Amino acid sequence: MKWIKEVYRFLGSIYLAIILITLATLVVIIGTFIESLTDSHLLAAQWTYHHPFFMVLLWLFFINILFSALQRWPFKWRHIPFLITHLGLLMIIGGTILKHKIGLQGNLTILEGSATQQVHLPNTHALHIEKKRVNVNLPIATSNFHKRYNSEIFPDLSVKVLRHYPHVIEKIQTWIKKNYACIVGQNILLVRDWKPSQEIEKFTEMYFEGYSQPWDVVAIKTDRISDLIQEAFSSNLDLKIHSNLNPRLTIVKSLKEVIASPFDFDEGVVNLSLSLSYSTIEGFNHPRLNAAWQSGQSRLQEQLTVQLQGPQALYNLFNGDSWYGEARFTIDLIRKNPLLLIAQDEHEDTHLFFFDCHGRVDSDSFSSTTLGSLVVYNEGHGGYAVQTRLPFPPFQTSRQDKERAVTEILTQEIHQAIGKAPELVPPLRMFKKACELAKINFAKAFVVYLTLWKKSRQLLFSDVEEEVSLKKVFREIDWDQENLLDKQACQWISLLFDRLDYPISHEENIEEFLTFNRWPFSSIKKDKLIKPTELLTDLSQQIFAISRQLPLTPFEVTTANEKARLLAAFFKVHEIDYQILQNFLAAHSSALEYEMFDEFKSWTPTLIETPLATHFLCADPPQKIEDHQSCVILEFCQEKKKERIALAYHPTGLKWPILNGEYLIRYQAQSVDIPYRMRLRQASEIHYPQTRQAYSYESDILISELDKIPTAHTLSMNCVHETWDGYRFYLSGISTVSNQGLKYVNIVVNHDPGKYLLTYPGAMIVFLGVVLLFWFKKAS
Amino acid sequence: MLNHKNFPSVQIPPLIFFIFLLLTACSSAPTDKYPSKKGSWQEFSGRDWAEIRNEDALLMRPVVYRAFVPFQWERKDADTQKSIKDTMKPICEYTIHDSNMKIRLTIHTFPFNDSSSRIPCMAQITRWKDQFQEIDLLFTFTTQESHGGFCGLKLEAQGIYQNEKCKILAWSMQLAQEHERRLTDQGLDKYKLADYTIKVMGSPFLVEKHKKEIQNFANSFEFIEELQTTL
Repeated sequence: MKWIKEVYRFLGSIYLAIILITLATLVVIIGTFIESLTDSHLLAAQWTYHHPFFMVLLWLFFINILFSALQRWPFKWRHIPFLITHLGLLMIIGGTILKHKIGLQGNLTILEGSATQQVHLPNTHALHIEKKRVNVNLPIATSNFHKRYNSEIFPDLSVKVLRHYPHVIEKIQTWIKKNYACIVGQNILLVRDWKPSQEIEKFTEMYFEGYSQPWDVVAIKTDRISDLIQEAFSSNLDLKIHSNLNPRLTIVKSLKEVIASPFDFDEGVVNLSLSLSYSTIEGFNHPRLNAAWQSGQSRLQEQLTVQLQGPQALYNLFNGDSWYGEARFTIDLIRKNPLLLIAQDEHEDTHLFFFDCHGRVDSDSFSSTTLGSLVVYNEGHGGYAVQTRLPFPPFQTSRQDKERAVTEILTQEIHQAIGKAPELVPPLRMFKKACELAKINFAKAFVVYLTLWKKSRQLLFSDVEEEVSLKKVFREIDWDQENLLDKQACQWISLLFDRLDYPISHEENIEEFLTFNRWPFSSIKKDKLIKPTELLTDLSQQIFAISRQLPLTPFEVTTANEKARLLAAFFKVHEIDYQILQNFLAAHSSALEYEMFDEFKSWTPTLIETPLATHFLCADPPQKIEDHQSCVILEFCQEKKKERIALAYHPTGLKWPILNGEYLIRYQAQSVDIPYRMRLRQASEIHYPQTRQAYSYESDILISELDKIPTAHTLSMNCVHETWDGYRFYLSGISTVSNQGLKYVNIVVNHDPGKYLLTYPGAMIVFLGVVLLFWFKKAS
Repeated sequence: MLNHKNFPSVQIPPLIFFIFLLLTACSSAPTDKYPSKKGSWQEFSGRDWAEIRNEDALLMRPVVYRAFVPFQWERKDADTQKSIKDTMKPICEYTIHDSNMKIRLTIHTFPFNDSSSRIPCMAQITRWKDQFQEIDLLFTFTTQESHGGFCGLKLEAQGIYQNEKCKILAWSMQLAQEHERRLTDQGLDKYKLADYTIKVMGSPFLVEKHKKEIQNFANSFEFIEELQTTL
């Protein structure tokens, strides 16, 4: 009996109180250190508040306070403040224990427009099983490998946890799965390893819907993606180079060869360089082929760029200022079949590279960690897939095809523009009149004339004899019926440009040439940087301005070529050249490269797809528990059917189909239903006036309780909603689901069942007891 | 003569003052954006899917949407005896009278069979902007909004419209893809598969004066039935 009394006294003694307070302090200190060292609140909580030792401490506190009060028996009046204080403390501790046992702390996620009453409990494990909109949340113990779980809703389905891994790294598999590449509807392709020195071989021909010619397809694993792109692009690709000065001079060579070593062409040497810089996020960054021609006899050099992607793709873009606006050569790329390269890098990200028959490139990238978009079949019961679009159309889209299509568009544009124009400038009026007499479409003839002028590399274009329609038009031009001063000015311009032809073609300094020949106006532009084409226009306008003072020219204008040359001079005076066509194009340019083709309207891009899969790599769990991603291997049984599946923990991830898509499953947190249904009307970010800086986040929620009228509430960062029975709702975050801008909110739900019965009254009683303690002390 | 000493001294006991302070600190402001004193929730029908001649069938037009409407607004519904398959016809319009002037608010819905037949939000915004003879770019804003499961754009524009100064507040909203794929083309779901626009036109001063209640109306526009969650 004596030891019982001693134990009773010790349990109610101040010594135990001191020991408990010291232990509680130590536990809190340890928790603080753990959290600061590991950055893991969960780990700290595991060793403190969630540890059974802390529960024992709480119970000991409860016993200590209770026994210390009981030891005052028989109670007297002076004990009242002491007893009241201890009763309050007991109620507070009782409230804490009750909250630990039957309280609720969880998360609720709601999409705008929808509603839910399911609260997910963090750090718990369950299987979400769904069968066409009937679902169940089945709690599982990941350490129990023998138990077979059944749910009442799906009694014929049982599940067993075969294995549990505390942490895995999840990889999304798209086009390449292990060692095979898979495109739906095509044979499986073996994935080969590749190193920079190797050549890419063994392309597989695949026919895709909508394409009459096959695609060469190859799947490769490498850690040198940039080198692989260069190699794949130049495989089976030929370069065709054609001289604009000598129509008979055309050379076709393998691109790989000509990039490796410069080659002789048109009394010079051509150097080629390929730029195919690629990034996973932005794709190709201005892919292009640069060509430089260096004369073998002089310092003369010409450069052009062929872009390999975008609206300007395949055009030969002349670099730098030129007297003619066109290089002496044109470049085209030729490949027999379009090529699809499926490549996987060292991070297991998959990249699809597309190369068309004319040298265009395009790409699509699929990360192994996050998905951009996916195709869902039958709400997930039919599985998931990722798709990509074959970027090149099946119709002919070479440079020449594009130029033909552009000519058509320009003709239509000019036809419309001239229809609206109240009056044409004299040279255009003259040209139009001639077209009408020759019964030739003016707009078309005009576009053809300017296009040929650009290609001819002549200062004033005159070779119209080869183009039948133009020849007819220029025969109809009668210079004698026009203003004689205009004719005289154009003749003098023609003579001047004849003189300029030699120094220009031999890259001589024209300023010096003009000064040497005592050109009276050249000094005007000396202090100003002027483009060659602008200088020619200036010179022609200077002659035109002084045409009255000029003597008559000795030659007559009779042939179509002579008339054309004179008209070119007249156009030059009025600044009419190919540039105005380019201005028209720029005004109507489109981001879609193929819109100019008639076939574009009936073209539906072909989609190719591959089933979506995941695989897991076991890894050491990181210190921070919040970063753990556990994985389970499950065995599902239904009658005689059995299926095993590995699932990673994803509270809101994809639901995977099992048993031929009859069920959908997800490994997630346990969920419980609360007696309130929350409907999200709007989630919004409130900004400071006139800025995009957020100062608050709000969500308008409609809360329905069983058999009661729903009530609307606004939750914000500092506005918590609390129900009469102790459910508290805190807005913890707003996120956007997709590019469209639909939002969802995360709400933390907290339910403390003892709050109004024990904790709050306990605190009030403690307050009262402390006041009385002081009052009694003062009174005594 | 009055002396301050003649007045009885009133002293608040510190404890009562403390409790009062505590209670004041614990109280919170009302959070209801849609108070029943100022307006009511009104319901709207969906648009007809086909030209309907049978008068009884027209009366069966299902009620799909609801929104919070201030009491002062005057409502005019689409004719129940005529089909409103034509999307040019509003499903409902309101007039806000203020002094001798008024603001007109119209609601249009645009049912769709497939995504390709939907009108992009930006196209609606551009169309509304083009309706102005002159537009004041300083007072023209387009912002992204989402509510009730719809996502889209809000236009606030001011300018000359039919030779008068006018202000537009307009919303072009599309049913979010996440919800669209959960709806079937059967029963009531068929009526839910629609985008909508809300357009408010009036004098700049008047629209500005009623802007808050108009904004509240637009933000409260939603389906009566909740949409199924996809998470």
